[in-house]
Order: sequence, then C-alpha cells, then structure tokens
Amino acid sequence: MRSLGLESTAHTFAGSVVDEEREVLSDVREVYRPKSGGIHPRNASRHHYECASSVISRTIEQSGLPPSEIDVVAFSRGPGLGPCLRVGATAARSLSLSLKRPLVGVNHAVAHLELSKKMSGAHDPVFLYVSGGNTQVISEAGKRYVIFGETEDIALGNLLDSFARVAGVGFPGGPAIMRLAKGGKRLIELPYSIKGMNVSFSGTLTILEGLVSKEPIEDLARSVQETCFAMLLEASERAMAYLGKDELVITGGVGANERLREMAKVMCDERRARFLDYPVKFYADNGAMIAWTGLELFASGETLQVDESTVMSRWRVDEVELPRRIRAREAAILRS
Amino acid sequence: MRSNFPEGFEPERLLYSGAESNIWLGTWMGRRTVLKHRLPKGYREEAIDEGLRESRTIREALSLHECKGAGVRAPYVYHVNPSQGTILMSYVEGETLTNSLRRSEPHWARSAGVSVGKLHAQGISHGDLTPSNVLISGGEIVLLDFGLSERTDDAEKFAEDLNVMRGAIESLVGHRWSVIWKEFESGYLEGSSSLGKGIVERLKLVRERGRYVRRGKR
Repeated sequence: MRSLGLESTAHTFAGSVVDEEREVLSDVREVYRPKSGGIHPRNASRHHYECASSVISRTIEQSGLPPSEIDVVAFSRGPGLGPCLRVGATAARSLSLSLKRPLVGVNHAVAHLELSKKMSGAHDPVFLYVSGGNTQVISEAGKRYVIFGETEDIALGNLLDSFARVAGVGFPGGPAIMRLAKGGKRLIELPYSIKGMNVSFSGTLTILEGLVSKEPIEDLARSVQETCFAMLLEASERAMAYLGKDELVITGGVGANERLREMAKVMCDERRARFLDYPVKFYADNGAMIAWTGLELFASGETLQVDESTVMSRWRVDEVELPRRIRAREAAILRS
Repeated sequence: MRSNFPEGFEPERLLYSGAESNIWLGTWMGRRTVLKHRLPKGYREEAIDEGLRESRTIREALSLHECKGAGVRAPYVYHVNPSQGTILMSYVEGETLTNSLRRSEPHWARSAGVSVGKLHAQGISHGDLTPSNVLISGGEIVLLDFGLSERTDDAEKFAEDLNVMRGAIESLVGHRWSVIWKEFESGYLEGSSSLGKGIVERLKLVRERGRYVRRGKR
C-alpha cells in the first residue's frame, strides 16, 4: 500500500510518497522565504499555489510509480495558517477525485510525532516538539497524545527567527544562529523561565532586542542557544521523571540544531535514558510524515468525504483520538 | 557525591530520584531527616547550572520557612548549603495527592486547594504545583518542592500555579478532572480569601494564551 502526503501548514509546501514498509519513495519540498519580515499567511499561500502542481508532479515522478498505484491521498488538515492549509487541502481533494482514491486528513503535530517515533525506533517516548510555531513536551497517555508542557507565549523557533531578523542574519534564523554561536565566547545572562513543565520565551526576545546593538552577535547567539535549549531539556527531563519514561525523541525544525541534540544526549545519558535520533532532514516539516500517518489512518478506516474535509487551523494534538493502529498500547497513564 | 552531604548526616537509602535532585532518607542529630541534593546537569553551561542550583536551593529553603507564616504545613529546614545544592529537612510521612486522586478521593483536592490559597495569600507562588508535590500526612496537607517558588504579588504567577495543577490533574485522571478541579477551586477560593476570585479569572486568560486553544472553550 502506498500513500501520497501533502504538507502545507506554514512555510513549506511538500509532497511525498511512502509505502507500508515506511520507505520514503519520494520527498519534494518548496520552502517559502520572505524577502523581509516574517511569514505573511497570504504571501506564503501564494507561494504554495504557485508551486503546488510542480511539487505534486515531481512527487509522483520521483516515486517511480504510475499515479494509479497510489492507494490513498493524505493532507495536513491543521493546525496551521488557514490560507496555507487550504492550498494543500484543495490540491489533495482534486488529486483524490481525479485518481479516484480515498482522502485522509492528518493532524500536523500527530504526523511529526508518528514519523519521528517510527524513524527513531522509539516505543513510548517523551517528545520534544520544537519548531517555528510550536514548543511542546508531549507523550502518549491513554488514547491520545497529551501535552505535558508547552510555551506560555511564543515558540522557540519564533524567538530564533525574530532574533535573527533584528540581528539582520536572515530567515530562517535557526541555522544562522547555530553558525554564529560557534564563534561565541562569553555567556550573557538571559531569562531562564520555566514553571513546572511550561516555558516562556517572550521576555527573552524583548531583552535580546535591547542587547543586539550592544553585545557581539556571536555571544548573543551562543547565550540564547545555551539558555533556551537548557530550559527545553529541563522541561523534557521533568516529563520523563514524572511519567517514568526513558526515551526522548525530538521533532520539529529547531531539532535540526546540533547543539540541541548534543545537549539532549547528555541529559539522557546522565539519567540512563535514551535519546533516539534519526535523519535530520525529517525533523522539519515534510510530506513523508503526512503520507505515513495518512497510511496508518487509512488502515484504521479514517477516511474523509471531500465535502467534510474543511481545514482545522486550531486543531490541538490532544484533541485527536488515536486509532488503535497508531496507539503504542493501552498505556496506563502513570506507571510510577 | 556523598562528600557533599552535610556533616553528621547518615544516609539510609535513596528515597526518590527526580528530574533535578536526589532525595535521601537518613538520620541527623538523632532525627529522621531528608536530604535534598540538587545535581549538576552536564547539558547546561556551568555558569547557568551553578547559578540555578544555588538560587533554587536558597529560594526553596526560604519558602519552606515562610509558608509556615501562612499556616501552610511544610517540612522543617535544619541545614542549607547553597553551593553544594543541599537542604536537610524533617521527614514527613504520608502519601502524595497523586495516589489519592487515582483512588478518586476528590475531598483531598479541596484541602490541597485551601493550602495553596493560603500560600498565595501570603505572597508565595509555588512554581511547580503538581499533585506529586502535595503530601497528605496525618489528615493534613503538606506542600513540598519549593525550588521554583517566588516571593510575589503578581496575579499571573498565582494563575500559572493553578494552570500547572489543572493540567497535571487532567493528565492524571482524564475526563474526571472537572469534578476534582471544582473541589480544588472551591478550597482555593476559601484559603485565599479576597485574592482568589481574581486569580481564577486570570487563569482563563493564561489558558487562552496556549497554542490553538479555542477562545472561551477552555
């Protein structure tokens, strides 16, 4: 069985064909990069419209399969930017109708968790989901993924992008900050704001904006990484201790940062847990995660009719009841 | 590791190994005592790590002391060493609110709410208010783990305490959370007297700031 997945929640329009052995047969991505400022939903959706048909035809072509051998069409239904989501949904609907194949709507966050779990070989991990729009500590409890900790204001990726913008180093901010941080020497004190398993970054952004003209950019980059990543790992470690779980998996674009993954490994080693890594290109938004999760949902019979396939821009991960096929097991909520 | 322990403390066994500290049971000057030892974290820059362990140790010892002025029970502090990250305190026998909620005993949620209300009315936010940091001992509520506490009169901090507790209860008991939360909230309103109503209102704002929450629904 093969699934074609389309991702379009934010800046990335991507397509992928995945088969039941989780082999990624094709992986095509187009990333919208604003010339200035952040992501404007309307401009991002225009980008998606312009590249959609090319991404889809390359996705099918690269898979080496005739379109007739695709069994299901999956799309990212939410959460995300409404105008962007609608491009993916419209493309998926027309593909589903023209190929005469069932349509499946996938929760973007669930897709991140599912693909990272499968690729890393984890069984029942604590997830750190950290991207431009999300910062959450999640784990499976009962029949759904439950958010145990999250940012109380902005996502870490959002902080990094905004900081990179005021520092004039471009978008997306993460890779530039990682490079600059390597040249950083001094550690500048920044807020370390953690409450239980929740974190907060908006105060950090305000302070960085004030420091950008006063301190070397390399030192600031290093300080923001060291401080903010430590907060994330402290929250993750709290969740692992609280739930008695001994695997950590990171997903989301910020996970591509080497320093974050290095720190995660140290944290896990110290508590005799395992940090489970997987190919870095699958941390960021991609079509394979939608295709793969779509395949699982299809196997559980969760298809959508075209007329009921409206997008859900505020669809929280904990609102999704996971089908049996996805659930690791009927886990006791707390094992301790 | 044990060389960091205060003089005269004889460890008996490791009671609990948490995310940030080890809790040892032992004796000191003939008393049953607990030693909380905050461990260095290799993933954090040394400067950040040392600063955090020291400030949390000091803050915890102060709050353990100050909350008693509000009539909130907490362990007694015998010895503090901020640079080693250790606090020696009295041992409190009891079970956690986590266990009691799992057995569906919502009245303890009410008692816990009263204690948290008193704590807030005294100007202390807890910072990590989960059912596992609430102990039921001899029919009374004892609060633990003040490492993230703050001296404050900021309604936001108090509302965050409630938010963390609410989330922890929800993830612990699933759909039964609303019954338990009602008990906690009524206890809280009683314990915090005039302060409480505004904090409960503020909690709604804190929740609505979360990602993708439908406004007015949660």
